[in-house]
Amino acid sequence: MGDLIQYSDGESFATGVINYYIGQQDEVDTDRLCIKVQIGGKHTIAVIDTGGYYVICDPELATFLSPLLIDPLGDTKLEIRGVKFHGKLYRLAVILPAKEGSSLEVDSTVFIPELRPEQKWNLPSFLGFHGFLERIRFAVDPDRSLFYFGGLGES
Amino acid sequence: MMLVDCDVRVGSLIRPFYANKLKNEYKAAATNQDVSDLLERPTGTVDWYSESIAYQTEETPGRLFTGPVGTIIRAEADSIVIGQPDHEMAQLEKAADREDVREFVLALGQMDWRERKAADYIKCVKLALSVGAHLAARKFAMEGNERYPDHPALAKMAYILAPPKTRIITSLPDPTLSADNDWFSKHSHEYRGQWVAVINGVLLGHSTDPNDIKKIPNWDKATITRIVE
Repeated sequence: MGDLIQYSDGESFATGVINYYIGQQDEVDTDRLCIKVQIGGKHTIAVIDTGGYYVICDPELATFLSPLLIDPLGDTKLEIRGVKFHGKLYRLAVILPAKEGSSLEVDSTVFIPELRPEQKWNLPSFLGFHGFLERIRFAVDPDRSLFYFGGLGES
Repeated sequence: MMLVDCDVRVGSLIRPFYANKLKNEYKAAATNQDVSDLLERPTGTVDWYSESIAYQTEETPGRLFTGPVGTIIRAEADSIVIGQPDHEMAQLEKAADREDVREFVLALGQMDWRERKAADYIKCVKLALSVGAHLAARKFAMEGNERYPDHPALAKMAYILAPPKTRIITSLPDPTLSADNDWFSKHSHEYRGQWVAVINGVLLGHSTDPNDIKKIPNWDKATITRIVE
C-alpha cells in the first residue's frame, strides 16, 4: 500500500486516487463531481454531495442489487434536491476503486427511495457526507481531475 | 395534540387508555373509526375488537361519552408511565405529524431520557427517520443500543445508522478506471435519460429500460448507470 498524500509527520492522508469527471447530473447549469464506485458490488457512477445524507442509490439501480437488500430500516424520509422521498435504509459495502494506490471499502448507510406513483427519479446516485464521506479523508486536484481518498484512522 | 385519559370499552370491559386530543376533538370519537392514536398501558402490543369507545375530556371530567367504533383497533403500546400521560413523547409525535424537523429536534432536546425504556428509543428513532431528522436518528439508535445492548431492534438500528467504517483493499489498482471516466466525461451527454453499460472505456449497450442492460454479455462487469435527462 502506498501513501499518495502524507502529513508532514508521515501519517497517511490519502491511500488511493481515482479520476473524476464533471457532469451536469441533476440541475441545469450546475456542475457535479462524478466518480466511479461500487455499490453492493455493482460498478456505477455517483455524485459527490458534501451537503447530503447517506449513499443514495438510484432506485432502478437497486434492482441490480436485490439479493443484498435485506432487513432494512423502513419508513425513512429524505429530502433530496428539494423533493421529499420516502424509502428504506440499508447497510452495504461501497467501494471507492483506486487507479493508483489502494481501493477503499466503506461500510455505509445506503438510502434507496421507493417512489410514489406520481414521482419520477431523475437524479443520479449520490455519495453524501453523513453516512459516507464523514469518515473519509478526501482531496480534489481540479487540474488533473483527481479525487484522492483515505480512510479515517487507517494506517 | 395532547394526551388525555380515556376509557375504551371492549365488549363488557372498560379499560383505561390515553387518547390524543386533536383540534379540540378526540380523533377516535370524531371519526368513529381511526383510533390508532390510542396508546395502551403498559408496554406491549395488542389487537382489539371493539364495538364502542368511551372517553372523557379534560374539560368535562367525570362525564363519559360513548360512540360506536365498529372496526378492529390495533394499538401499538409504548412505555407510558402508568397514570401519567407521556407529554414529552406526545410533543415528539406532534412535531413528526407536522413534519417539522426543527420542532422535532427541539422537543427531543427537552426530553428526559434517564428513565426511558427501549421502546421509547425505538419509537424516537422511527419518528426521527419519518420526519427526516437523520442525525437525531443515529444518536438515539446508538445511545439506545448502548443502554439496551440485548434489544434486537435497537441493535439493528444502530448497525444500519452507525458511522461508516473503512477498510483498505489490498488488491491491485485498476488502470482501466481512467478509460471509463474518459468515456463518461466525453459521451454521457449523448445518452441522457438512458441506462448505459461501459467497460474499459467501451460502451457495451444502452437502453431506457434497465432490464435490457441485463441482457448484454458481461453486463455485470460493466459500469452501469442512468444518465440523468
